[in-house]
Amino acid sequence: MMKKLLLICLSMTCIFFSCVENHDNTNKDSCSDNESLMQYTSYIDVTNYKSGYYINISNPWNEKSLGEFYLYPDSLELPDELEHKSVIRTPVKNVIAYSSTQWSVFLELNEIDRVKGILESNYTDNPEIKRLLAENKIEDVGIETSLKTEIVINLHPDVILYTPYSTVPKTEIGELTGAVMFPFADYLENHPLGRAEWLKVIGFMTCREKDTDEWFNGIVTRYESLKNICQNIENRPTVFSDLPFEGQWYLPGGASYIAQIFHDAGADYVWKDNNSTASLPVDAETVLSKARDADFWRVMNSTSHKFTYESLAAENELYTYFKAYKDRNIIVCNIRESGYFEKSEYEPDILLKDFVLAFHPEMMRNEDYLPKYFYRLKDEK
Amino acid sequence: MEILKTSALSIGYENKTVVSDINVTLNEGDIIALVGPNGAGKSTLFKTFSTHIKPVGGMIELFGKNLMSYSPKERARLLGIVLTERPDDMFLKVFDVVATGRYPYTGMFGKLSENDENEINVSLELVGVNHLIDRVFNTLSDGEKQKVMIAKAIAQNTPVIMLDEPTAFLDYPSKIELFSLLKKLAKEQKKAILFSSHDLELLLRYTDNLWIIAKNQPFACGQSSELLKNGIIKQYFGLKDADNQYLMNEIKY
Amino acid sequence: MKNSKIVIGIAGIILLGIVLFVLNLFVGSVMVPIEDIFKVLLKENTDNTLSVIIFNYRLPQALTALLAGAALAVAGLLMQTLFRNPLADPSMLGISSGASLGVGIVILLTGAISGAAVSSFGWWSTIGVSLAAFIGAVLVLFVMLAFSSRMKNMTTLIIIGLMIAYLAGSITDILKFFSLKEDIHAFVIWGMGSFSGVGTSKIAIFAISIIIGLIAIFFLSKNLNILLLGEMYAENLGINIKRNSVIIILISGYLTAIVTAYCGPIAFVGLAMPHIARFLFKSSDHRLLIPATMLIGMDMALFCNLIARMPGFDGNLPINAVTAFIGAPVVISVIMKSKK
Repeated sequence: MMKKLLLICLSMTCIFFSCVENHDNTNKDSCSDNESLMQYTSYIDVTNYKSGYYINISNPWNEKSLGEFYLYPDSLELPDELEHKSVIRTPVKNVIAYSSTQWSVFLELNEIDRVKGILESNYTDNPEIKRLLAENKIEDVGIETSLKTEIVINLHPDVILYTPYSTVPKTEIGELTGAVMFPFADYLENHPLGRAEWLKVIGFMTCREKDTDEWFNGIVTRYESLKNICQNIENRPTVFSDLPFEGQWYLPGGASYIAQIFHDAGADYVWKDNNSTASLPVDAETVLSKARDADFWRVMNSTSHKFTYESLAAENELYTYFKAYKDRNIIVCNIRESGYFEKSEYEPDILLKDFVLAFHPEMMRNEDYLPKYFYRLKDEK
Repeated sequence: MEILKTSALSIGYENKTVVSDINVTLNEGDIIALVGPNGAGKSTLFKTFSTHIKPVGGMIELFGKNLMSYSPKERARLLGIVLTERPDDMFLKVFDVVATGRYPYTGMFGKLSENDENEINVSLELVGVNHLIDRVFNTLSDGEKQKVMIAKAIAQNTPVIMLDEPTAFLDYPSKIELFSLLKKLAKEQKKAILFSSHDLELLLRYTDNLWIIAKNQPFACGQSSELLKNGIIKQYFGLKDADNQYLMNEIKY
Repeated sequence: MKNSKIVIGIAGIILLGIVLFVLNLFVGSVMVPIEDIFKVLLKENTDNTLSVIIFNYRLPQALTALLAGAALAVAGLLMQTLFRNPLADPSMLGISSGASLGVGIVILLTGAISGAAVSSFGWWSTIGVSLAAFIGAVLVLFVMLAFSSRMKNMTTLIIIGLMIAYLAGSITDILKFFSLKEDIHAFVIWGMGSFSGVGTSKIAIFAISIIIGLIAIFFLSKNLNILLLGEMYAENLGINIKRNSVIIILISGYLTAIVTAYCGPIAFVGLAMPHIARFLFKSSDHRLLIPATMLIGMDMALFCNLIARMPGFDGNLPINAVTAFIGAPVVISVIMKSKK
């Protein structure tokens, strides 16, 4: 009897020590110097913490943090000091994902079975997600302003990835479900690589950090090398963006995501000196006077209706006075057909390449490259 | 000359007849008072004559023709009304109010001819308020307002004028003044005048004929003195013997 | 008021309108030296940026403001006289709410269908929004006409109009509740009102539609004058009350629908301008009030458009904010002055 007990105890400790040892071996180096694991992000910082990770999420609105989180392997006993902290046990099991930029990473990593509920499901054209919805493997849990609370509770989520806003009040859903409310602030990042780097967060949560590191490093390599080539180009075309609504342009700020891509693609954004990251309301006549001679014009299209130079002229005669219009240098993205919102965030290298092709076609002469998101609108005549 | 005649007229609203079997005539130069307790149907009768509501049954003839068969424009030149309702616009002037009486005679834009302006002045003079012509209607006293509204009806130049409670809100001298004005109109202008009132005593004194509406009683009409003598008034108004006697004495005097 | 005074008053308002119109051409968010403007005006160099700004942007915008101001102001006058209520305005018919609902359906619902918001301000922004606003407004207008052809009592008509406005408003709110924030943003922008949405390509059709309505109103002046006495008197003076109110609602609703379709739901002008006209001329005569209200509406809209685009701001201020901000003190001062 005693022997048996001893044996069990021994084997238990063995297993325990072997686990601890394993983790200690892999993480020892980085653990000691507390080095950040994120390179390009402004609003999230991740460091190693014992056998897991410590995550701090900040925001651009005030100095208060959006939250501190610990990721800790489910297979290990939770250190005492984390008892009363926000802890996510990894790999996560039941996830509610607010936005397509979240679930698309799970999908890419083949971990989509961890996602139990998504929001605004009718806005997606993704066939895989549609199939999972149809098979009830993923539930639609409503929209941000009205969550289907009871369905969420019933899904027993351990993590809810939500999109933080400056104005939207926190919902009580975290308390009701006991899930950790994790603010996925990817959209706040203004550097294209910073925004893409958020995919690593999903990697940490699913214990697939090796794969996401590799994925992200590939993006960085491709993006940086193309960017470096473009930085040396002498002739930098000028570019401006968007269409007016009710007589007013809502232009991306000079420090915004798209302004950074314009810059990295070897072009000068007309409003590059502006240092706002938000969109700027600008009167049409100001845009006309400042951007009339700009070489390129970026336009987003959210409907199935196709832009042509004729349809643009019919919409507003003012457009025809822009040089970019006259030169047929309008760069278009059909949000719906290209899946821009879902995919482009993790393909900034491709976005960049699309723009380089438009701005500097001579650089791509030897390459048979088909743009994925943005393409120069051709004259139909 | 017979101007307005009702035969077996029933008045009221779609699902409720107020008074039925009214057979009366209104002749040129007549001045007739419509009396009766509140809610008996005086206003309903006015609304029916002014075609605001349709008769429930029977017929109203104006100059021998069904009242309803006239066009609104034609009717506007035959029958003028004065109501208790008052325009309350802030800048509406006395002239403007009386001028509306001429609109049935003007063209599309309502431009007043010299003749129209003349008619307006004459009407104001007739009721004795031509000095108020440039005043804002809203600033007048109740008596002045009443006179201006009557001037409007005179300017409308219709053979029939109907007035709903013209003596309401007036002080005693103004009431007397108003009755003599109506009498003058009936006599000099040969108009047929029908008006409603509560002032039984004054009516008996100043009017020749009465129409009486009362709840649950047949419509009655006749000479004032007759109606008083044969006890109809006593019966319809539920007067005490002493009061009735008092009225009879008053009339004799 | 003497005829000569009226002539001077009207002439003053017209003169002010001309000055404001010219200022609208000269002043905007892009600051331009006056001598350059004269050069543009004289040279007729049509492909110069300045001339594009003046002729293709500021000119249609000023014309839109002028026509919209006249239309809304006079539509308000019609409503106030018809309902004999000094607080009546075109929104009382539920027409603006109907237009908002139409736009709400296009922006909020098609945003949902197309999978992305109009926040990227594409094709829908111009064709779809105007069309939806017009359809929404006209549908409500027909409902109101159906009621008004059946009803003589104006108070019940006001209540029905308000109820329809609330009904349309609540449907819009429900749509908003279930919409993406980008779409709600686009909807809010539309709701702020703007005179710059018409532009050169649509100014002709806009102007013709408005002018037809404005001309039609002059034929109503006589009946409107009679309506001041009340429905019963008006009826006695030969007016067919039901037909008359149908015509008045039709014309003012038509003008409101067109302006709302192209410029968004612009408040206050319809409510306040008739009062300025009345107090300025101390008159209730619609033969004077109709042209005076139109002209004052023009002046006010041009003035507001000028303020909204003052140099110094990069963007346009919302017209709806400016109209009340500028207009309310004007109304108060006019009333106070005339009371002295």
